[in-house]
Amino acid sequence: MTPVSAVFKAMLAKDVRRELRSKEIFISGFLFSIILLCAIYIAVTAGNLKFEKMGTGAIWLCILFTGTVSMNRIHQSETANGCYRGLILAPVEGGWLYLSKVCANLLLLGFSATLLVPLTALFFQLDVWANLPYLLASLYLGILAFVAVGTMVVVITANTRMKDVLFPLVQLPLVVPVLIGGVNSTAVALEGKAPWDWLQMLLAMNVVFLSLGFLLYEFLLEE
Amino acid sequence: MAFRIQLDNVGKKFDAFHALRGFSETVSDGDRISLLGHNGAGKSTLLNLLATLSPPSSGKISYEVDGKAVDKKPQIRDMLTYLSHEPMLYPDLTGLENLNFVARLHGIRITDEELTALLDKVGMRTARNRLFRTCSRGMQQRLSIARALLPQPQLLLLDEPFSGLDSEGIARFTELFHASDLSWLLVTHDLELAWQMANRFWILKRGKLIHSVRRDDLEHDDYLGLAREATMAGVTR
Repeated sequence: MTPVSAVFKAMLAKDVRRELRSKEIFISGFLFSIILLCAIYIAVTAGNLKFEKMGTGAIWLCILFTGTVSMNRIHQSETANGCYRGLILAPVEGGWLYLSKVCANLLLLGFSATLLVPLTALFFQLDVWANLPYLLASLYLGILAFVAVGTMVVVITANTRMKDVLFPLVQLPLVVPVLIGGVNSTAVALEGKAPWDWLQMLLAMNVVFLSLGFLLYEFLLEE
Repeated sequence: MAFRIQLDNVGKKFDAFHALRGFSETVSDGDRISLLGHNGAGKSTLLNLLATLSPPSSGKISYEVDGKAVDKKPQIRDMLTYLSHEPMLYPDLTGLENLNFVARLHGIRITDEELTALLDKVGMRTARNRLFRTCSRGMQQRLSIARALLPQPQLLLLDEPFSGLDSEGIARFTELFHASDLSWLLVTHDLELAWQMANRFWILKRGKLIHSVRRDDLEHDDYLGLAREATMAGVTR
């Protein structure tokens, strides 16, 4: 059996190399975020709303939609040429494959989200520097939970005829608790306070989703 | 290491459709089996079951290595590789990078020189740094064969493994496989290739094994008769 560390290293190196070469996740995800931010900015300006109140929602809307687009892209490139079957046939427990895939997806989506923070701060006049560690903890714990669910859902919907439509339809309701936790935690962090309660909720959701994924992935992969 | 796979009354159902019924056979070291049958006879289903890609609906498949039962999927997958018309390689990586990934995923320490030697064997040395998606169909299949050989499996599950290859390629790989000590289960519609590659034949018809014969017990003409009868049965059930 392959050592777990070797699986993680191989998966991360492969996904980063592919993304550096194709830039498809960055282009489809990050550029979509900018367009979305512009749309929200125009709507806020037209509605005479307070910019600083809308910032948190804007960040999470971008994460939600670009995350969905990116996860779909990641899975499409993984299923091309039957690559997923190649992964399944490796002498590795399904659970470790799942966790390594979550790590790789977190890295790709987290990178786009990191670039999104200063942009949102610029658009919505947010003071992101005052409480940066809590803000980043809120964002990354939220993205991790989003990716943990998405990596499972993508496999569930992979063999269906309408997988591109079904993926967001199944994914979005499942990540509503993540969205609630993430938005509230980010809002409290932007007010300069420590969002401990919300961070604990996000942490608990991550434990639940990652454990479920680890235990069920092998079963979900079976055709 | 010696292996043995025992299939006991194995069946596979997809809703009401019986893809495979009551299949009982054994595969062990040295077996080079050609699996023949019409479209929809259950050939690929059987390979998927053996590769643990899907569980049987009925019956049991038991795996043994050196006389000891192996029941964990990673251990089972360690003893076999699956080669089909799908290359299972990433379009945005080069041949060398793809094989490096496969080696790491299988926990194999291998140098670039050793990988290049493997690529040389499959006739892809000069194209090793080409992106996979820019390779022709035949070149992709050659890389896919390198992928299957890399983990040094005991059993190869081959589903139309030479599709897209030119006649030189088919001759090269037939020779390469025969020179190895590998065992395999080959699915092909090319009856001559199936004859050349096998020392046993399994012939399926409508999900049932109708003939299991050794090559030594069969003349070429008799073999052709059996194979044609099964392959011309059609898929209507």
